[in-house]
Amino acid sequence: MNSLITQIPLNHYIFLSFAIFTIGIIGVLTRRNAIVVFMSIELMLNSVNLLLTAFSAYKSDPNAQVFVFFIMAVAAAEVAIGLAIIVLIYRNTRSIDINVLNKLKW
Amino acid sequence: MLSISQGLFYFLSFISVLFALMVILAKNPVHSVIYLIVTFFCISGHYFMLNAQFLGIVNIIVYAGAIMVLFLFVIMFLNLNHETEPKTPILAKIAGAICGGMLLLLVVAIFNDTQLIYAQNPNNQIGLIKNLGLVLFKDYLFPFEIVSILFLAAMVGAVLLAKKDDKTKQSDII
Amino acid sequence: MNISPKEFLSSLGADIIFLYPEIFLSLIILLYTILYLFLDRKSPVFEFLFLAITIGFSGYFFSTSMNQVLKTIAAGTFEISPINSFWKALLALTLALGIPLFKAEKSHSNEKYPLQYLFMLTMLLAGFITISARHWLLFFVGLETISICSYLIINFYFTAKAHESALKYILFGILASCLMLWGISYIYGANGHLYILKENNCNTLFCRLGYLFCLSGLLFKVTAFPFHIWFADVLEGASYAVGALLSIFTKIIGFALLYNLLSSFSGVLAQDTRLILAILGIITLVIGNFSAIKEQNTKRFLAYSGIAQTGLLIAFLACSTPSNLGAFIFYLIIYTFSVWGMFYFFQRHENKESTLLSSIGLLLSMVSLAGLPPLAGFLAKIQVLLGIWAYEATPVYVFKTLLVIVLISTLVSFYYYLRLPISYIKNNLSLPSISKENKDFLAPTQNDIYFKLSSLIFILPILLLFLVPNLINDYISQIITTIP
Repeated sequence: MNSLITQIPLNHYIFLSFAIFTIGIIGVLTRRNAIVVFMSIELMLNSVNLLLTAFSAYKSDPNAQVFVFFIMAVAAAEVAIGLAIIVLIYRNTRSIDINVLNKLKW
Repeated sequence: MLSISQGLFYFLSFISVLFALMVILAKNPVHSVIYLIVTFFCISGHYFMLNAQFLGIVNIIVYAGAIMVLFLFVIMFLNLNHETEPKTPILAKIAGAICGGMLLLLVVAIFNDTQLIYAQNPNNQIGLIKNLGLVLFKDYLFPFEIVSILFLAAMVGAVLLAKKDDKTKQSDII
Repeated sequence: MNISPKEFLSSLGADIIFLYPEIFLSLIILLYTILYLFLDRKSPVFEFLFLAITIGFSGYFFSTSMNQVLKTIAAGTFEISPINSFWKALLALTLALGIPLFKAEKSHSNEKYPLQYLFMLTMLLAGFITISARHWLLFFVGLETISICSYLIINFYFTAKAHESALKYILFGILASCLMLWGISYIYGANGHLYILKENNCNTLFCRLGYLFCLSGLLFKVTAFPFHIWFADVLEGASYAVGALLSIFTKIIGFALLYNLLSSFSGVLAQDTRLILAILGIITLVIGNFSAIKEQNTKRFLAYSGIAQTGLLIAFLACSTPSNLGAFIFYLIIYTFSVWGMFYFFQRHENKESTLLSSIGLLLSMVSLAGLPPLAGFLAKIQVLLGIWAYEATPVYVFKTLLVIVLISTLVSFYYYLRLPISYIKNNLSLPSISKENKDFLAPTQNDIYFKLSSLIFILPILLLFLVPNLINDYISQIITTIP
């Protein structure tokens, strides 16, 4: 496993994380269910984490890995609040569609 | 000829992209959650291959464990596991896909122009708990303490939102 | 790599003096949480504590700002400097000014209400940290804390609409912070470290794209063009007090950070960023002004006029030089007083407590925002316009277009800022007793002297600063001389 970094160029990891990030963006743009939009954003955050970790491993620098650790912590807090708000809305309207059944204009 | 680790890399990458696509294509939110968990496990596999063992484990515990269980809990709690989502117009879907594709093209084109500098002989010890702990509690002690304030606010807020308000009804305020 | 526990503690001990304000504020936040659990929720202690803390911090930072020496602590992640102290004082003052609005909310009798002040104090702490951050990690954590508190604070209107606004805000907010993280990872890949340096320049397109993505998180906070969509929707669902908080507090933080970041750019990076900001400023101005003209809903109107103000400031940032930071600060101070005032008088009107005094107050704060002579807003706007006028840059046609658009939109804004208050005043003159009849509607705290006092707080500064702008201009110019 140790020789792995020398076998796979950094570019491969970067393209992989580009791909996952793009999939996340497409999910945000096309889906209407708030929970699925949330999941797409989680995908994007994970691609950022992967990119940072790859850079960190290829540069032999632990700082970015600590950064990823913080991103995970903050993301967990934000998801908790987002889901609490979704529960609250569902209690009121029985729907969590972010477009059509919304009283606000998009 | 592919070596074992190269083969593993391409296999994990293929699975993670495939399941990431299935997350956004699945009709049923519960299926999306399951696919997302598979993607997270693949990304954890990538972390292990990058010698970031600690992050790999934290990723499984926090993302695949805590966050996805939270998602699953909310979906089950609100009974959303049937297909309730209204249809997006096909034109909007195509437009979204084109926007995403353009972004991908842009970043790849820009990236191909760039020469990144990285270490010739990477140290494979940096992802271990000991090294990360030293960095975390030495250089990043202050941000670490600040995150505790963030969690205090988030915790109070989540309890406040989810708790039912008995005394004041909605209609009183509106 | 190895460090003994003793070394570790001593390295902390030397720096900790400079972190006393932040540590004190976090202790207050804890105390506040505990008080909420044990005290009666209706007790006025919560407001007094909040007011004392914010005014205290504001005074502390204003008075000590000139004595600060430029210094980075906590492993180079946290910077102490006079200008940072000034921004912190302004943030604390901004929150203190919000008290009259928060007290006048109808949902003020709800027992969850004191927690709103807890979240505002947390926002203040996070603001202190983000302003001082010289490391992307601290920057990110601070910005996210502000975001999380603002997601929560919108829910305090306790209506279905407020919750929907909060959901929309949180989805946009996480998306923007995700783009920012994406940019940070590019910068890390290109530079190899996570510090925000005093001089940033990058030769590769990859790195410049990273900085561009990074700006998106801040552009979201200040509601500039690609990230302005959420603002009208969120404001429509939120209460007046929270709406004002979002359009003042987060905007000031966003602009302070944008200015800090932009002034650290040099070379090609600075040129590119200025060009992009100029184009975004043009689009934001056009969208904000033309949406504000035809908007009928009051809260959406307030949002669009806020977007137009953002456009002006973004345009000014694109043309900023070290010498005209003073104009920027002066504008933000006047903006703070005028916008709090505007929201306060609109809130009176919505609560059916409109009097002639409140309508005149509304007229004054809106005239100040429009930038007409007898008020301080005029001086602020003239300085900003002169700054844009004097700026010379290479793609001349973009910056000349910017100037033309700024002038046109200033003229357009006269129309929509004057239309509403004048019609309110006409109503008040024809129906002078409307507030007497609806006495039942009044929140218990809204007595007349209290109202007159708080109106005075919002109106007096914008009148006074027009007559004697040197009250703060001397201080501002002193602060600016400390910037290396």
